[in-house]
Amino acid sequence: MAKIVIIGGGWAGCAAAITAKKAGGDVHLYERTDMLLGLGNVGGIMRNNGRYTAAEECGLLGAGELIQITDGCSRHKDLEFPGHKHASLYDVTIIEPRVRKLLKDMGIKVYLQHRVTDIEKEGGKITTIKVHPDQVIEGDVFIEATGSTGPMGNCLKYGNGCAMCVLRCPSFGPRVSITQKAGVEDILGKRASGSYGAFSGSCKLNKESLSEEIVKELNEKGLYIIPIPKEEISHEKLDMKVCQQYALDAYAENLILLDTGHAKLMAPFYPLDKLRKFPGLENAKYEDPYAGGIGNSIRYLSTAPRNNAMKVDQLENLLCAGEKAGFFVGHTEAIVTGSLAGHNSIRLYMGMPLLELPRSLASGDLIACAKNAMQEEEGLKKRFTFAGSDYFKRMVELGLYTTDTEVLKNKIERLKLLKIYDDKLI
Amino acid sequence: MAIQGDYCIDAGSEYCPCYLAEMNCCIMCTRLMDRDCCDCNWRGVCIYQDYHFLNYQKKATRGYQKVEIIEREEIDKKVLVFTLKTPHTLARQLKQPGSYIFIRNQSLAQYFDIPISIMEVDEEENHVKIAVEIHGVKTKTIKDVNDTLLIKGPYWNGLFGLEHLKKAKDMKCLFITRGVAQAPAVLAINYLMRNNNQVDVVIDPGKAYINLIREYTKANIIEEGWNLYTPEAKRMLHNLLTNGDYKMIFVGGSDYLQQNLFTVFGDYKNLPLVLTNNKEICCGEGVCGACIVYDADGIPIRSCKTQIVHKK
Repeated sequence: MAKIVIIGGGWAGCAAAITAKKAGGDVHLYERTDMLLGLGNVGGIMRNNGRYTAAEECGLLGAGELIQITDGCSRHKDLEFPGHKHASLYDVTIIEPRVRKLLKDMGIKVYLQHRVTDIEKEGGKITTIKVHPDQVIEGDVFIEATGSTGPMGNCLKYGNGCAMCVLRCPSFGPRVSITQKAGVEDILGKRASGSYGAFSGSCKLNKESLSEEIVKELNEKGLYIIPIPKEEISHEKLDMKVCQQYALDAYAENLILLDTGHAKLMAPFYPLDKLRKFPGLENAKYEDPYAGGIGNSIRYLSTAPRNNAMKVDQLENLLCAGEKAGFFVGHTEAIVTGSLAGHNSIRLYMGMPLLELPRSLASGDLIACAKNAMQEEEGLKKRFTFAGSDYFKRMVELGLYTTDTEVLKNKIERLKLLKIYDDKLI
Repeated sequence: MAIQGDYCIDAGSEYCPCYLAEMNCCIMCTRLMDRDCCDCNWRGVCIYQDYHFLNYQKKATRGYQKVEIIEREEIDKKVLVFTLKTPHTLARQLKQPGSYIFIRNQSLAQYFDIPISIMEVDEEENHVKIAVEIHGVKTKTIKDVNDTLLIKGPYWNGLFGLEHLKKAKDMKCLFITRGVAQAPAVLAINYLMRNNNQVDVVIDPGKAYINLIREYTKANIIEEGWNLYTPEAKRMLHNLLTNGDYKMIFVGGSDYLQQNLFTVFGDYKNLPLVLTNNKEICCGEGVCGACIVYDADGIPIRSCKTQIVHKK
């Protein structure tokens, strides 16, 4: 039986585990913290703009399980906020146990608090991974979904230091780049200024610490907007952040709060004393990162060169997904890339041609665009998300964006890819 | 038997970051090793972050202090036990197994510093006991000292395999000790017994003919007159290990003895090992290089600060 070892249990790793399992693999998922979903435990935005199309494509290709969960956990649907339409906001406080249960029910072996620290290889083939402190695990095909955020030294070097985010490096140990350990150099993203990495784009306030009026509004409508006084407006912050889809003037000129269970503040960080000057935020307290008043985690510090089937260059049996596979932003992007990597892990094991999603699908086009960007200096400054910025513009221009599931179904049927992830290959 | 080591005993302590960080030779942090990336294994507050907070300077290092000798016992012709009166904080810091200090006759220069294991600590009285075997150039200088000693500490890397000691609870442990290496065993035994472990001890009195274990612990002494170098003792040790249901082994004795006994331990791959650090320790700060040993790849390990793992 094909033993598929997945490193990293965020959205991408979970998605890869599901499709690898469905294709017939014996799937082992290693996660260094005590929770699955990684940054998915503090995110929550789905189906905004082109992500709607991508979520539907994912389901039609046969990887709808996680999308069903995010839909099922949504506190708000069809929400509109500046620059974004038909968004869903899932409740970050209830989602992780549901994903964990799904994986368990599917027979995927999940190892929490198991941090992979190194690999061994023979030629271009990874033979084993090492789990801290001294466990050695063999596998046939490996999928790296370790993300590109942190650890602490990077958050200091390229940011304002460890802000104590949900990744909890001091407690569970730092992220390790598997590709780098295997001798494949990491590619680092840049900001417009040329410096490396980018700040995570939002922080979360404890909802109970906000005024009754704000809480009521958030619970009912999902959105609360407070204009920032002119003298406090800083457009510079928009360049810092990873989420170019929220790098709009409206986000510099307003405090935008979204209800994801926490009150998601659409800014990388905001000094607490200034925040508390806003009406209704007098007692505001950060939920993630705990030091959201001074900084946030730094991302895009470890991306791997790969092909459009998600296989890492120079290595025969390593695939990658999520932020590890490009300068992607968001859960949907992680699920899309993870699902493809998981499915292809079995194809790789079987010696079959690997699946590439055609560029007539938004998913395939995004994966290809992100790959190309990694190869160019200017591309290192680009971010890829269905939700906005340049890529969403491209989606609209190329006619890839639609909210009509029937249209997508017909297209995917024509491409003979309907429910392809449901095929058991072994 | 290969060794490896990448864990600094001082990491995250009040002495970290140290000189090694300033010189870009940190044991843990790749950013403080002249490598422009994060690739450490440290679980704790980032050393680089701490260094940044300190304005890219080390923390204050351990200084010398003069301490009073409360008691001086000659328990053998060549072995002295000193009871020292130390400040409370130092006593508390030295209570961890593997702790050591440097001692010196105050009339002499720094290169007469002797690294000595802590045997017992009384935190209420702030008394610290050490056992010194009068043996060579440095130890001979304190043979007749009876009023004060110059000391520097705390240092913590006197034992390898400290993580096993830390984790041990409700376990059966076997201690194999020889000569004055019983002293660090005393501190470790009392630590283990406080955590409800059962400790059996085999003692080779060595050339010193001392029994510190009986004097300072309540451990179960199985044998106290073995010569561990004899085939007979090894056979008996083998029996003990086969039938004793031990979950951890401590070997207190020279590197030569440790190597010799690995022939016995060869069959017990999975038992966690705790070993005394017998390297030539001179400055204790990872600077002078006296304690350097090399791993299988020829990478130097500064054993005064680095926990060494033996790979069988």
